[in-house]
Amino acid sequence: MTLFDENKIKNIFCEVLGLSAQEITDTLAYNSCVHWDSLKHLQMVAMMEETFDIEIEMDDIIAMEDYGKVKDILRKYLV
Amino acid sequence: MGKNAFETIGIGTDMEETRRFEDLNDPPFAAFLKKNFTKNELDYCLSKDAPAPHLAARYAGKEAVIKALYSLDITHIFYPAIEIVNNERGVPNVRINTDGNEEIHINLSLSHSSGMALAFCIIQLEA
Repeated sequence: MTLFDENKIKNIFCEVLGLSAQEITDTLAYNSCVHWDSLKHLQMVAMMEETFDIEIEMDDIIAMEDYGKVKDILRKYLV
Repeated sequence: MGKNAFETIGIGTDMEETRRFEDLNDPPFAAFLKKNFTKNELDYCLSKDAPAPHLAARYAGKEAVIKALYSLDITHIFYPAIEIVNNERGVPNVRINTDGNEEIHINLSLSHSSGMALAFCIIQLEA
């Protein structure tokens, strides 16, 4: 099982959403960030799967509503 | 009281900017295509001189299908399972590549201009 690495998760958010690391906080949310739409969401999910060599379940992809929840969900797949 | 006909009909629509589907070498976009488009869809879109409008239209189509399914409380079908391939007359046909969806009948219309792609979907469930 791949190691949990928050820096890698944050880098994916920065690269896909075009935000600085300082702007990526636990409360950054899908429904309030203008840069985070469904297309960007699916791009981030695909990058997380490639980066960590995991396959994220559909219910988890939908539940990734904010950065804090993304980290919580990824902890299920990573050690 | 009889069943309201609209209880078995779902609709969904979506529009996308085609410029967002142009950079095939962008790693997040390439990973997204690999995960959410079928081989048939990619073969079709990438055979075009300008794939972006076709990729954008197909993604809009998948979004429209998901919205129509959600309007009927069908939430177990996700992007990779929705395959949109044109028939011999150029009409987009939607195939759900998971079992147990025989009662779902889907009609989809796609359109694109130089800058935008649009999709409209109607789904009827067998009574």
